[in-house]
Parts: sequence; C-alpha cells; structure tokens
Amino acid sequence: MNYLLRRLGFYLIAALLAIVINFFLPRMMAGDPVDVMLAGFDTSSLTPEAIDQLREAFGFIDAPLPEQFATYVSNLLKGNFGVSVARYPTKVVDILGVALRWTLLMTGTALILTFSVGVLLGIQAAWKRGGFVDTYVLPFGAIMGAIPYFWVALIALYVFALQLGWFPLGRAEASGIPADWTNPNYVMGVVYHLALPVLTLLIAGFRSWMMGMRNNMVAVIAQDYITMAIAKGLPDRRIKYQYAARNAILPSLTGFALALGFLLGGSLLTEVVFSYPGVGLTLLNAVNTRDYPVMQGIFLILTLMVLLANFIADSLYILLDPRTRS
Amino acid sequence: MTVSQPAAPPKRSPGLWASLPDWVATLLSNPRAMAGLLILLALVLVAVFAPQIAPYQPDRIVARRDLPPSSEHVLGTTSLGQDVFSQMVFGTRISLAVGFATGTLVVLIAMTIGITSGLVGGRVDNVVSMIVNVVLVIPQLPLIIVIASWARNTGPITIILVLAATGWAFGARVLRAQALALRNSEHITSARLIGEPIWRIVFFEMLPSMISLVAAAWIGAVIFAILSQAALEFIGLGDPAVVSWGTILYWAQNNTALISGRWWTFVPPGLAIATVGLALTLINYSIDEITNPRLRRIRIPKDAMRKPESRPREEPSEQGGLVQIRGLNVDYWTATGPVRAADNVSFDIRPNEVFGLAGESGCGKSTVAYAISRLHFPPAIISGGRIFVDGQDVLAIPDKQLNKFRWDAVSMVFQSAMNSLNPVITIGEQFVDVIQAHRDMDRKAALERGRELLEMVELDPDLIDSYPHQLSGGMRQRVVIAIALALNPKLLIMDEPTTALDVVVERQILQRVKVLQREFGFSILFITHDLSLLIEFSDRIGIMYAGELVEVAPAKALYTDPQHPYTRLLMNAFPSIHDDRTGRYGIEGTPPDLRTPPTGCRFHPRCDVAIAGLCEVVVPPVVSTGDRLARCHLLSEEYAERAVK
Amino acid sequence: MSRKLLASVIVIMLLFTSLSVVAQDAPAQGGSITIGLQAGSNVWTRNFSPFKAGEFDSRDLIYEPLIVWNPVDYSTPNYWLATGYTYSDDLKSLTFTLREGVLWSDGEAFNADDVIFTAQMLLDNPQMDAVSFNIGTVAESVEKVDDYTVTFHLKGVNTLAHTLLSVMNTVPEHIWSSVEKPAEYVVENPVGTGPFTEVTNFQDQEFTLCRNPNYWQEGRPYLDCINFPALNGNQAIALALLDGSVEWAGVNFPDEASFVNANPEHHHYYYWTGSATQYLVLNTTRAPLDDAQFRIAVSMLIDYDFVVDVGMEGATQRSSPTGFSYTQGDVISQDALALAAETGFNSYDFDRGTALLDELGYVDADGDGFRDYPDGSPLHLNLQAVNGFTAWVASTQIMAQAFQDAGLNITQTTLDFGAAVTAMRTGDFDLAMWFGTTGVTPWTFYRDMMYSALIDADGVTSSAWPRWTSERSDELIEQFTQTTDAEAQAAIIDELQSIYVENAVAIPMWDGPVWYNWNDTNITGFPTEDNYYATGAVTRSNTMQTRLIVLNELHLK
Ligand code: SF4
Repeated sequence: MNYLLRRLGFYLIAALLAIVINFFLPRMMAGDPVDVMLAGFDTSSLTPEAIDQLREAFGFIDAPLPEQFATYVSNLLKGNFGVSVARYPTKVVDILGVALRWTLLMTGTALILTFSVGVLLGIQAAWKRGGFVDTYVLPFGAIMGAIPYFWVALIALYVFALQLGWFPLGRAEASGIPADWTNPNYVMGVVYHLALPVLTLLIAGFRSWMMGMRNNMVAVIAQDYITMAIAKGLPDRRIKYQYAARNAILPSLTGFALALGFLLGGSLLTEVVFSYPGVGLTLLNAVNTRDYPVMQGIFLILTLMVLLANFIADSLYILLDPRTRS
Repeated sequence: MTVSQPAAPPKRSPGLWASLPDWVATLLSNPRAMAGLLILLALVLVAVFAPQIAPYQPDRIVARRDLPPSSEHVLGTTSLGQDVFSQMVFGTRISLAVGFATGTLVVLIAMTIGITSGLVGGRVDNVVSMIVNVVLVIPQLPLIIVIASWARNTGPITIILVLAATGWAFGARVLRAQALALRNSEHITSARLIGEPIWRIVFFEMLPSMISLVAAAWIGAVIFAILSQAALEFIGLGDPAVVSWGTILYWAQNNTALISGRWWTFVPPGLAIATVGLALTLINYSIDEITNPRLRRIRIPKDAMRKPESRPREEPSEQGGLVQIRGLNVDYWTATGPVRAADNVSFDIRPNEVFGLAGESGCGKSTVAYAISRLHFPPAIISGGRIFVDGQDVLAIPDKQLNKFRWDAVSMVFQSAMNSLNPVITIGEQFVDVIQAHRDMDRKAALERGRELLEMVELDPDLIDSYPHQLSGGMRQRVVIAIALALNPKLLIMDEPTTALDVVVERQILQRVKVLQREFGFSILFITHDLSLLIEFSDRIGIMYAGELVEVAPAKALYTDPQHPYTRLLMNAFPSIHDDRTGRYGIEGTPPDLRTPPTGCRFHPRCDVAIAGLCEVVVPPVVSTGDRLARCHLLSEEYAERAVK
Repeated sequence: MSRKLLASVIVIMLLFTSLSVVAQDAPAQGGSITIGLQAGSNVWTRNFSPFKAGEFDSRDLIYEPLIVWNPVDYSTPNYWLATGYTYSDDLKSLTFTLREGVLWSDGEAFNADDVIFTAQMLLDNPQMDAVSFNIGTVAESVEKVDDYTVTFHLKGVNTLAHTLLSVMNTVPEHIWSSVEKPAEYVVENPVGTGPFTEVTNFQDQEFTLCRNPNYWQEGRPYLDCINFPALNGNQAIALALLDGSVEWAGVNFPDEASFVNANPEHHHYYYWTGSATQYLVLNTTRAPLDDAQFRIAVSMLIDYDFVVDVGMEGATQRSSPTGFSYTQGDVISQDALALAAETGFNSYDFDRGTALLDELGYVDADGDGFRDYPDGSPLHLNLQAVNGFTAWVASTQIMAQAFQDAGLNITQTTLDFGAAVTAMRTGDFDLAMWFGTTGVTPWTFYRDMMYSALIDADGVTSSAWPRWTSERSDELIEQFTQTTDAEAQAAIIDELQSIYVENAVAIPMWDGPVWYNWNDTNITGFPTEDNYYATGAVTRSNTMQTRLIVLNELHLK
C-alpha cells in the first residue's frame, strides 16, 4: 500500500508539472497569445470589453501570474479546459470527450495486442536462443524500429486500402449507420475501421515490448531460482512461465511509461494517417488551426491518461510481485 | 532494456584513452557493428560532399514537375520540378546534423545530470531522479508538438532544442544508475577522498568506465531525433523551406504523391531514414552485446553438441559408489573456442557418504556438480566421460526423461539461498510443483508433505504460505534444503550452501542436515572453499585445481597428511583460509587462465616445490595409494626412484 | 489523353447532360449527395449554431442569408430572404424588404421580428458577432418598420452596407429568445428556413441533413439529403474523391489527371479564378522598399507565368497589375494598364529589372556577388511565407531564386501563421506573400490596402499591409461611400487603380482560385466550365454562400 501511495504522490507531481508546462508555455512566448488566437477573426469591430471576454473564454485574465495560475488550476479542477478558438464557442472538454473515446478504443486495443504479442515473442526469443523468433522476428523488430512509423502506415494505407481494397480508407465508423453500440452492424463497422490502424501499430509497436521482455528474460534465466527449477525437474512450461516470465515481466511493468509513450506517439500519427477521429488527429487539427486551448487540453489529458495507465501498471505490479506488498 | 542494468563495476580504471582502444577493438571485430559503421560513414560522406555529389541545387527548379525517374533525374522530380536525388543528398546533411546534434546535446545533458546526481548522491540525487522520472512519464510526442507549435518558427535549430529538452531523461536515468553502481568502487572513493573536483571525477574517472553506455545513449538519442524530426516535419511543424528527409516527405504528402502513384518522392526519404536507423541499431546491438555478455551468441560447432563418445566403455562397478564419475570433461564455448572447465575428472561418492569438494573459485567444482544433474546448457557442454548415479547412466538419459531423473535421484542446494527460491510464488507452491511433477499426489497432500518437510528442517510449518522475501537468509536456506529432500533423493548436492550466512546459522543448518542424512540415508556432495568446514563435515574430500581433480582422500587423512603441494598450501593458509571479500585463497598467485592452461602440471607456476625441467613439461600422473589419490610428480614412483638416485 | 482533348470531351459530355436537364420539365425529387468539406476537424461536434467559429459547416443550408452574392456575377443579387434593399437619402440607413410566405422548418412563419432579433443579438454580443457575421462593423442599430420591412441604422455612410449586412443568417426568434447565453448555446436540432434542416444521422465523423418539409422554394430542393463526412486535409478528401465516396469537394488536387483518370466519364474539376488576388506585399516603410522605382524593379524580376505554373501548379491565372482578376475585366482601368505597360510594373522583364537596379545605384560595391545600397552598405531582405501554405512557400522559393540571380540578397523565411499575422500587423517584415481582401465591389480591395485610417499611430494595421498611403487616395476612398452614383464610383475606382500602379503599392501575383471537383455519377446539375452559374465552392464563407444556389439545383440523374 505504501508503495502505491508513494507512486500516487509521484504521479501527482508529474501531473502538476504538466499543468505548469501548460500554463507557462503560452505565457513564455513572445507576443500576446490571445492576439495569435484572434488572428483568425476579424476583430476590428470588437470593443475592448468584448476582447476581454474572449480572452477570458480562452483562459487568459488580466492579473498577476500567481492569481492567473490559481484561476487556471481551479478551472481545470472544475473540468473547464476553456473554449476552442477554431470552433468557438465549443468547449474544449466536449472536443476532448469525443476524441478520447476513439483514442481509448484504438490505443487500448493496440496496447493490449502489442503487449501480449510483444511479451510472448520476447519470452520465446529468450527461451529458445537461436529459434525462429530469436533469429528472424527479433531482427525484423529491429528494422521496424528504425523505420518512421507514419511512413509504414501510409504505405499500408496505400497498398491494403487504396490498391487492394481490403480495408477502408481511414476513419472510424461505417458511413450512414447511426452510432449504436447494441447494433451489431455498427460494431462491425467500427471493428472493420479499427483493423488496419491497429495492425500497423502492432507491426511497429510489438518490438519495444519484445526487446524489453527478451532482455529481462535473459537476465532472469541466469538467476539461481531458474537453475533450481530446472534441477527440480519441473515441466518446461512451468519454468518458462511461472518461474522465468512471471519474474521477467515485472521490469516490463515498471518500464510501462516508456513503452506507453512510444505507443501513444505511434497512435497519434496513426490517427493522422488514417483520419481516425481520436486525440492525435484532433491535436494535429488544433496545431494546423492554431487552436491553442485544444492543443493544451489534449496535452494535459494525454498526460493524465498516461499517468493513469502507469498507475494501473503499478497496481498490477503489486498484484504480481509479493515483495512490494509488505 | 539492457542498458538500464548497470554492468558490473570494473576492477580498475584505466584512463579514458587507455580503455578506448580495447573497447573499440571489440566493437570493430563485430561484423554487425562494422556494417553499421560503414553505412553511417558512407552517409556522412554523402552529407559532407553533398555539393559534389548532387547534380543540381536542391531547391532549384530544374525540370518539369512530377517527372518519373529517368537517367537525367535518377529519382525524378518533385511537384515543383526540383531534382529529388539532389534533395535526398542535401537532405542527408540536415537530417544527420539534427540527429547528431540532438544526440550529442541529449547525451551531454543526460551525462551532466545523470552522472553528477549518481555521484553526489543523497538529497540531490533524490530530487534529480524524481525529476527524471517525472519527465519520463510525460508523453513525449504531444509535448514536443505543443512546444514546437508555440515555438512558431521551427527550423532545424528549434527542432534540435525541443528534442533535446524532451529527450534527455532516458539517458540520464541509465547513466545515473551506472554512476550509482560505480560510485562506491575503490578508485572513485579514493578520488573523492583526495578531493578531486567533481567534474574531473566525472570526466576522467567515471566516463571511461561508462563509455559504452554513453555511446549507446548517444545512438539511441540520434535515432530518436531523426525519427522525431521526420515526424514533426511530416505533420507540418518543421520549416518546409529547409531541405531534409522529413520535409521531402511533407511535400510529397502535401502533393498527394503516394495516392497519385508518384512513389519517387515518398519512398526514398523513408528508406534513407530507415537506413540510418538500421545502421545505428546495428551498432547499438553490438554495444549491447559487449556490455551485456549474456546477450552474446556463441557459435558452437554442431559436432561439439553431440553426446560424448570418447567416454570410457566401462560399466558401473558393483562395489563402486552410488555416484561414479569417469573421465568427465566439460567445455565452455567462448567466441574463441572451447575452454575445458572440468578435465578428465573421475571419482566416486559412496552410499551414505558426505563427499567434500574444494578448490578456488573457477576450479571446476561446481561444474562437476552441475554435470551430475545434467544442468549444463550451451555454451557449456559435457564433452566426455560418463556419470552413473545408482547404476543409471546419466549422460545417456534421453532429454525427455531428464525431468524424471532430476531431483528424484539427485537434488541440489544452490550457492545462494537468497536467490534460489522463486520470489513471486509462495513457498507452498514451490513444494507443490516439485512434488506434483514427480509424484501422483494431489495439491492438499503435497502441501501437507511440504509442512512436514519444513518441520524436518526445524521451521514453522505455517511458513508454507509465505513468500521467500518474508524469510531470513537462514530460513530460506532451510526451505531450500526441505525442498531438496522432498522426494527422498539418493544424492544431495550442496553447492557452497552457506556462503551468505553467518557462522552460527551455518553450523545449525549443517548439523541438521547431518542428522537428516543419518536418518534418511542419502549421500551428500558438499562443495565449499571453506576447508576447515569441509574437513569437519565430510567423510572424504576431493581437491580441484584448474579443472582437474588433484587429490582425493579421507577427510582426516587429508587434514593430517596432505599429499599434493596445493592441498598442503591450502592447509598452511589456515586459519585465514580464504579472504571473504575476494573469495580467493590466501596463497600466492592467481589461478591460471583456463583458455591457456600452463603446460605440464597446471599448478607449477604457483608450486613452491616444483621440479624444474619436469613439472612445466610433463603432465603429472595420478598416483593412487590405498583409498587416496593425488596428481603430482613428487608422488610418482619414477620420481621417487630418481630422487633415490 | 492531352489536357485539351480531355477538356473538350468533358465539355461535350456536360453539354449533353445539361441538354438532358433542359429536356426534363422538373427533375424528380429524391437521392442524396455526399460532400467533402475541407473541415477544420475530423470530428463533428453537434452544434448547428450559425454563430460559431469555423466557416466549414452547414449553417447556410439551415439558416439563410438575406441575399446570396454570387462572385461570378456580383451585379445581380440573388434575393433570398430579402426581396430588395434601399438606402435612405442620407445614406445612413439601409432598409430590407423581406420575403413573405417563408416558414421555419417547424412550421412557424418567418418575419421581420426574426431578422431584428438576430441582428440585435449580434449587436449585443460582439464576440459572437466577431466569429460569425461581423455586422457590428457596419450597423449601429436595427429597427422594425413593419412585419416584412427592416431598417439598419449604420455607423457611418457606407454604401457597401447592403453587401455586408445581407450575409447574416437569420435564426428563429421563437426558439432563440428563450436562450440565456446565446454565445454558448448549443443547437442540437436546428430550426431554420433553409432547404436542409433535419438532422437524421449524427455520428462523430458524419452527419446527414435532410430536406426542410416546409421549404419556401417550390419543389426545392430536389435532393432529399446531404451527407457530411468529416474529412480533413487534402489527402483525406483526395482519397475520398478517388474512390467515389465523396461527390463534391473543393481540393487543390495536385495531380488532377490521377483524379480524372480514375473515372474519366464522371470525375471533373474546374478551378474558377475570380476570387481574391494574392500578392507580394512590400513593406514601404523600410528602405529600400520605400522607393517606388525599387519596387517596380523587383516586380520585373518575377517570372509570373512560371510562378503560377509551378507554384500554383497551373491552377490559376496571374492577376492584372491593378490588383484585379482579369476575370473581372470590365472593372480594370485601361489607363492604369497602359501606365503599367509603360513603367514595366508587374511584368516579367529580367534584364530591364536589373538595368533599373543598376540605374538606381543598387550595384555590388563590396564584390560579394550581391548588390548593395547606393551608399555601399550591404543590402539584405527577407521574403516571408507562411508555413503550411504550400503554394506560397513554393512560389517564394522560386522568387527568392530569381532575386538572387539578379544579385539581390533576398532570402526566404517561413513563419508560422500566427507569427506571420503578427509580423504583418506590426510591420515587422520586408517582403511577404499575403492575400487580398475581396468584396462585392472593387472598392473593398483599395480601402483595405491603402486607407490610412486603417493604420494606427504605432503603425499597426489589420489590412493595409504595404503601409502606403496618400492624401489623394484617402480622399477617393472616402468619396466612394458617399455616393450611390455608379459612374462617379467607377471614376473613383479608375483613379485608384492608376495610383496603385504608379506607386507599385503591392505586386499582384495571381487570382485566388475556387477549388472545385465533382463526380456526376449519380447527381447532376453542377456548375460546369461552360455553365458556371454559381461558384463551385463546396464550403461557405461570408462572401461566398453560393452553394445554397447550387444545392437547390442538384438532382438525381
Ligand atoms: S607436479 Fe610439480 S608442480 Fe605440480 S604440484 Fe607436483 S610438484 Fe608441484
């Protein structure tokens, strides 16, 4: 429990840092961020009061920095992330809500898949040195790690969707079927649209888990308890999974943040390539339309998501490693 | 994540430049690293001589737009009519420059922060490592995008700064861990004691020992930078007027090159980035292998893997021991070939006997023990001899039936009790799995048997539900012994079972084992370098030196009358029989390198009674007298005769 | 197939289809079309308020303007919810007569109260106005005359008020009057007077608008529904066009052939070039750009045809030296053109340009290969483009090359849009690519570009980028709005053009094209090159709501 509390404290600090970055970035830049935001509007008719109102809507008030920060934080706590510039007066929270749903679906699916596949391959690579996985899959993973992910995704889109027509040309839902998760047709449509992005993520993403797991396994296999397990004459499977993998997966969980960060980066670009309506695409659109409140909201929400995922990984760690429980 | 495991601290610190050639030589001897370096070198040359190589100015419009590749424009033209090949060539400059500059900046920051923090330690280190971990947990790409879009003008310099600002944490963590592992080594401590400034220690004392890690961090950062730069430029956050691989992709995408089938602006930049990434990855892998020898793959010739055939064609003798080892050879394969760790070892262990095996670290005593349970795996190979346990030809057991044999006939207590229990499952599970693997017994009965066994080793049976970390070292060792006795084995191998325990606990445990041995009647192979303990505990003792068994004798006889000069020296080194810290015996010299064992008698360089002209030339014979034997010229009849003359 | 041949094939086909349209009396109702808006986002938020930022929505199809102005023919107003307009004698107020018999989609009647309510709401909520119709720039107040007559009182004399105020889309008072904070009001199920008001499907990435059962135009619209997939970026729309899932879009397909070849019979594109001019702005407050002769010399160094062909990929044509599109030929002053021909302003003549530079004394004094100021000090200027505006980046690249070839040390920089806006506003630039403003009359262009009142004391401006002004031009600009006499106005415009050309205020580059691609497999009635009855813009903006006209014409084959 103590361990969990300590981690929780740590994540709070991380969240705070993200909030601070978010707060100071626009304020550190030369010029008035509101001017930049308003650049897209014809502001010639605006009275100073009206501009102030807009300023406030975008989260900038005329006050000393500490007070601004306090207002900023209290707004965040109330779930008020401000108002989109490009889609004024849509609230940033509403935009994030939709985007988050799709990102959770895609990144979540990809996370589970890349994790399972990567970990299993990593176990196999370490367990059978010189076997198929060790000889072929490992170098393949290394090559994939060196290729820009979005490039692979684009080529996949071109070949499998445009040329071969096996998959849709991006987007998340089948056209014309109203969103209804109890309608199997709708769900099928969503799955069909999810397939290619997740597959490309899998191809590009299993590697980091696999390498990590392989190296952990190699280290664990050298441990005395593995030798003892072999000496005990236990069945191979039990040694492989209960003795080696169970121990080797623990550092993978602590390294979760890094791998997740990588996957998230990948999925942001995937969304861009596949026009998938998640957070990454929304972020890019926000960048293109200079929609700073949305950009910052996304950065914050992504950070919080990653922190949450890490916290879940930590909890899992406690479940899997009795040593942390005492 | 190999790099995150600190490598063992090296024993001495050669200066920065002294250590470099060695390291570089290892790297260069690796074909993969060589390939990577050559590719990289070629690309650097392309970058340097871009104006000479490129047929056109990269941003000049020199032809019609969207021309497919031709002899005039090897990679066709862009949607503006620029020569793609020239752009690729000049793009190499920016992409490599951004990669290398970011990599260097990242490593400098990571080094300064990581090493200093690890070195200084204490509160500073706590705060720094906290910051590092916080930065690591914040998703990088979104952060980069947000910073880059606020930074507005995102030319290469901005990109370098943004990437460095977000990318340093990983390297800092790795280097800090290593610095932490190094800081207590002798030369660092002494350097700090004489008051050398921190930066001197960092750069002249620590850096040399970490150079491979730093190189790995640099390479990682370069890959990260090149990929991130491409991604940033691709999504439009770079300066599109700068010609780099990323902007070529950006323009290609903007002009829908791919869906219009104009692959020539789209495919080459991706391949170029992949090539750099691949080259760097190759180098990184090789560095990984150098820092982490476990990842190294040793090629073992197929015929060496075959079952030993040169073994003596003899059957186990009736009146011989429970365990009969005959002419046992064990080879460890290294990059340069096999090293014989156990050389022609033969001895017996009789029923109900405690047989002690002693020798310096690396003499092969554990190698022999592992061979009895067939616990050697490549790169270790049993290459000759035979082993019989209770009449069963151990080396002839088919792989599939090995599990039946193990633990049932021969069980083993390993060197460090701390680590021989699986830390993530309960003690009970570890009883159950071994019992169920060998006996047809349900879980409940197996647990009951476990409790019984715990009681046998004088532990509270309720400990069955605890995890290893909840027990003290002594208790854990008792648990291991209990598990070892679970199947009533005929032979119990105890491989330095008490190394980590204090003397009192050690005695208690050994006495208990002795009691159990008498009660159940099994044999023990007891391995230690504590000669006094051995003499007290064993019935007979074997002494090993450099892979060979040099003397076997009843414990008392060995004590009162050691025959082999090595044994005698060991005895004389009493009572400071070994130095706990180094694990070495208190006799002069160091054991030989088994890759190039001394000619003649392997002990001759350290032997105080060596016979010049003989010992270093002629291999001494095994001389057996009564129930003891020794391997020394001094004991041979020829020599005795010669001596008489 | 050559482009020419292709074009003629298309023309013949279109002739055929338009003939068949004529043959039928009234097209049958039914069918739906999928249109590819260049959306600012890939996710729709369900808010059908017309007062939100972002031009790329469906507001004009739900709520309608008073008049639809068609850039193809500005002189003919398309009366929509209004049936006419008149100025008061003092030109200080503007009265619209409204159409009778118009019903809201929920069956209520439309009348003056709705227009007044909408206008008043915008005047009361300036930030709402600023992101939508900007009527506050012109109107002071609004007044009801009778149930179908509305009068706007103007802030000052402004004879363009009818073009600016008539674009406002009217919302129903009976719905909006009970809304407390209209600026934040989220409209999930809209009620409007437009042809398509019923939301029948709303997904994150697609929604469908279907016919207004009470639409006031008899028998219209022919189509039942419009699908709006959320597409973002050229690539996404291009893909959708290629595979036929989108039937009407407005993307600059960089490789039109690949689009047409995918389905030569039904895939078409036509880029009309009558939209706002884009031009090279020279900062006339900075040396040496404060010298009109230098500016003229610079304008001679640019190979306009090459820039248009390569930078704009041939999708448009170069503009006239007076800043207007040749498409609006009748506006262009012949005197001004003759003047331009004489001075050489805005026509490519590299040798003449370099000769003029030599003559002006800008020669290489220090031997570094670049021209210096006449006093010998080194000359270096920046040529600014905006990151992401690929045509600008490309053409500035070409121009920078030409300048360098002429010995002028002018280097290209690309700025982020926000930074570029700031630079333009504060005057922190040397040369920059920028857009002109467009309005219903040519006057807007000159007012925005040269009117000194638009530059404040600190030199900050929101449209007069070159910062070139003169007393005479100010006078002319002011006079224009004081009269409704068309001839007097024409004379003013002519003189402004001559002033513009003489002083090389800014260098016109090319006409902004209206991107337009369509697929007539199922639907017909599109504007074509031969029958361009309205601009083919699939998106709306305040100055272009013509898709309302087009969508009322489209029908099943
Ligand atoms: S053989 Fe010679 S060198 Fe070897 S132990 Fe005997 S005396 Fe010493």
